[in-house]
Amino acid sequence: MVASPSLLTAHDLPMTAAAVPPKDEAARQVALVRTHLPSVWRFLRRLGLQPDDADDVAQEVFLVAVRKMDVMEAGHERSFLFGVALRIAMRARRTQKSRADRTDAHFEIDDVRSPDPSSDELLSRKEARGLLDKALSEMKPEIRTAFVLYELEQMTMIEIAALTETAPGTVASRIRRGREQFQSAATRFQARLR
Amino acid sequence: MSDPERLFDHGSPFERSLLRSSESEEPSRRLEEKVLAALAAAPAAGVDPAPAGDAAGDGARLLRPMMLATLAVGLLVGGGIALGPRLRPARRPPEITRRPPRRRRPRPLRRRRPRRRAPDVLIVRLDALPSAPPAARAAVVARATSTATTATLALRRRLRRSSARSRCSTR
Repeated sequence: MVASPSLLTAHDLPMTAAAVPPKDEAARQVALVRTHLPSVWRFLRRLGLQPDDADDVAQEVFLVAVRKMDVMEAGHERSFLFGVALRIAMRARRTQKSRADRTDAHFEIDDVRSPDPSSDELLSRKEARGLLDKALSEMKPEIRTAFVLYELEQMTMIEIAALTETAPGTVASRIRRGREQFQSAATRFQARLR
Repeated sequence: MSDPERLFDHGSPFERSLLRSSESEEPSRRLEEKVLAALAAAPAAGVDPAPAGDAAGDGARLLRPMMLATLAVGLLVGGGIALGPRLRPARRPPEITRRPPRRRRPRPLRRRRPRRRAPDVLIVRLDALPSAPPAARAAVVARATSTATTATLALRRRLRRSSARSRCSTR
């Protein structure tokens, strides 16, 4: 059985006879992946995972999510996926911590120095991402998670509190500390760029 | 609790450029294909990975473990029977009997030997002695202890000598 051709092709889903999900369910899975895979993958990257590790974890996240489709509330897929991603990423980071931190920490500001002193706007996206990851790598994991979810993924504090299973006051405190640390790092980077 | 303003929108230009740089990063196109393929290969939610109803398949699947289990039980029983006599202990285990508690004989009471008592006082009257001279027949009271006896004998000998002397002088 193959799902709707408009959403899914035989190349996309090489299904076996033993595992053929219903048509609607397959379509829902494809929509879930296509809608949320980029944001989940970016979230994993900002949590400190390397691109290859982020690929593996992202796939695991969607495999878990598909198994729990029935408990996933409509309209809250993103929060659900981020929660799963956070747990798997924490587990993955424990094993890959040294590798990830080594890469993050070795990003030198001199590598992105531009000949133009007023080059804030000219700073390429890739170089800016390097600095962003360096600033994030200086934060504690819990502060980093709250900061990324709030500032980059635009989640509310209530959503973050539910996702991380912490009190809203704790989330607010972590966001505040994350902002302070990020601003301090940004000021430092900017001073060295000039 | 109201959310504070986000640096993403209200930070300095440099801060915003750093934060917005994250959006430019995208996963590879192949990742989406891989994830979709993995999802397709994985059993869907609520779907039993082993479809029931295939009685022949179930029987074939169960046959091998059952045969192995039967073989293992047979080996265990056969081995137990074959090794049974050898497994007997060469020595009989010591019998554990309940010994009656050893009775202690009461220690015999040692009778203390009575101390030798000194002989009773013997009053010897000198005039009662056959050999006593009349002069020495004064009443003498002496103790009949061993010392007194010796003294009595010495006195008797003296009396004899003195009586013999007096007899000689009178003659």
